[in-house]
Amino acid sequence: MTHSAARPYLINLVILAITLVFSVAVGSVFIAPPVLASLFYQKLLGLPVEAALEPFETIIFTLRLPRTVLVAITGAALAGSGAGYQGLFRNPLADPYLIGVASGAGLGAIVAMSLRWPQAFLGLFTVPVMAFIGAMLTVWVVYQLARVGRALPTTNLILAGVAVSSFASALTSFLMLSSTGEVRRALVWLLGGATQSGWQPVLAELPYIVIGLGVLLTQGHALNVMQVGDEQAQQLGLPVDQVRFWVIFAASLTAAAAVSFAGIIGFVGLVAPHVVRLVWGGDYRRLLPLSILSGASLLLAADILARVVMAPQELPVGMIMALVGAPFFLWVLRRAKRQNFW
Amino acid sequence: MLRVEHVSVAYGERPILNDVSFEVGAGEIYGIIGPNGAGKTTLVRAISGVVPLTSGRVWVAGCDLQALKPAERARRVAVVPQARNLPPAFTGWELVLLGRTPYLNWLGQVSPKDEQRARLAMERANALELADRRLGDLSGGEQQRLLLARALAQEAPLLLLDEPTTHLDLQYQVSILDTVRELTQNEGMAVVVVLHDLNLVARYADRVGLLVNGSLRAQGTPEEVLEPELLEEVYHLPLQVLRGAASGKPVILPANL
Repeated sequence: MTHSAARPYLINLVILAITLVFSVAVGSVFIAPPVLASLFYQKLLGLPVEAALEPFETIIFTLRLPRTVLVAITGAALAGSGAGYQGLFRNPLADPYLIGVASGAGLGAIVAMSLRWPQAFLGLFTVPVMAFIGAMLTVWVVYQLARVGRALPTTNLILAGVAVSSFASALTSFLMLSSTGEVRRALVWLLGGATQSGWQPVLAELPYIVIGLGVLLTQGHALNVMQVGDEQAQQLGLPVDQVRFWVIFAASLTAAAAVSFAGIIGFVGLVAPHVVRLVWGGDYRRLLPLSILSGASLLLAADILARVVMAPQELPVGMIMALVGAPFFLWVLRRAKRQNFW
Repeated sequence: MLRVEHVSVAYGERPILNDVSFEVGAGEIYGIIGPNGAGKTTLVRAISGVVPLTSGRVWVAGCDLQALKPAERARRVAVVPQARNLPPAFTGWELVLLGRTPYLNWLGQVSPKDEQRARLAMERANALELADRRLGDLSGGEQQRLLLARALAQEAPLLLLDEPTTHLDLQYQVSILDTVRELTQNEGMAVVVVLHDLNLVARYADRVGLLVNGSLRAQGTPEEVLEPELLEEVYHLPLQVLRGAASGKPVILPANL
């Protein structure tokens, strides 16, 4: 790898490192980075923690660090998923929401919250598991509705996605209005507020995301080929149906996992790949990993804002993402249009 | 190199190609002409394996095309499509590298050898200076050169060109087809080229197939096929066929000129 090829990765890693440090440092108590550094140093080497640092230890290692990691992997998942859908559908507006993953996950979660019975045997992770099942079912239904024989025309897919997504959202609203106790919790979850804390959700989310993003990263060249259209891709020897299956599977898996553990957060999957594309071009072999890195940074930055804007009260990170992300996205789109980007 | 045997294709109930048979040898340029809707593009799609045949066989270098996997097929047949709807953010180099797709492993890793072959293909298509330019900034003729380079990067013995000169200025039409002719003469590639322009066919094709309503109405040398009565019948227009002063090749003009 030449110097210039490595530079985009370095820049994104530095930005990610900065947002990670800030995310751990900022909160009801500000913990200065030098204090953080000595605390991590002592922990890593297994030294006894200094008495002066002890109050910070709990805050950092049981509250802020798990949350920071959860937000980072969620951002990475949404951005990687968005880049995957955009490449597959050759559509700058494609994202995890377009083919109904988010609505499906939302519906699954609300079903879990409003019906009591699944909790008996699924325990603590009823909501995430049901959300995940809902997301995958939605993708399957959309896929079945959209496909014509063995082919899957993009227009059909998007139309089916919109229709199924609206249907799922309507069912979600109905269930929320008809149930009583859990509505507030559901609402916070839907707005993308992290309702769970500790390492458990991180560990539960991580495997899906590692598998999903891992598969996506193998599809960089294939997605480049897809940019010239299905027919030319076939003529270039790409097994188009196979690629389509793997990208949809991986992008949906990561998106569903992200929605399951962090709620419905929009714009990460749109904004992060767009910024990367504007700065470093449209080669998916580079676009996918860079989107994953920048998506993590972006959601971390939004989460930091969510914690400081109305401190001590926390805002749902999904709300901040939409407030900052929507205008930003419009700006990106305008710029892209002027430069004949798509 | 290419043997098309009794090929028929239908979209749903509608028959598009009906019992088409022809052969193209190594080093030969086979031109396909015919009025709009005759099935010319469908024939290219059938030979490149992207539409299923309702009957018949396509043999390329001794292999039954239908029995091959996508990558195996793309190593034997390369297509130069019309330059339309290309991703504008791609660079010329990125587009040409796509031609190496049938040679990549499952991770899609491009090896130094692939890069070397892609560069060579760009040289052969006279497209090397376009490597770093973005497709959105290029003219139709320049994009067409890159598409030719991409097809050459596939290193297939059979090249299919689907109306490669449509929408191009005259100098680009001639330069693309000159390049193709050099490739057939120097490297023994077999070429099937769909052309609208009867005069370009007369100038470049070794043999010509006239496709009408999905069937080959006539085939042979340009002199045999580009024949006033036949063309008038097919194109419903009185035509005159002259002889080029330098080449002696047929030149087709409306009769009332």
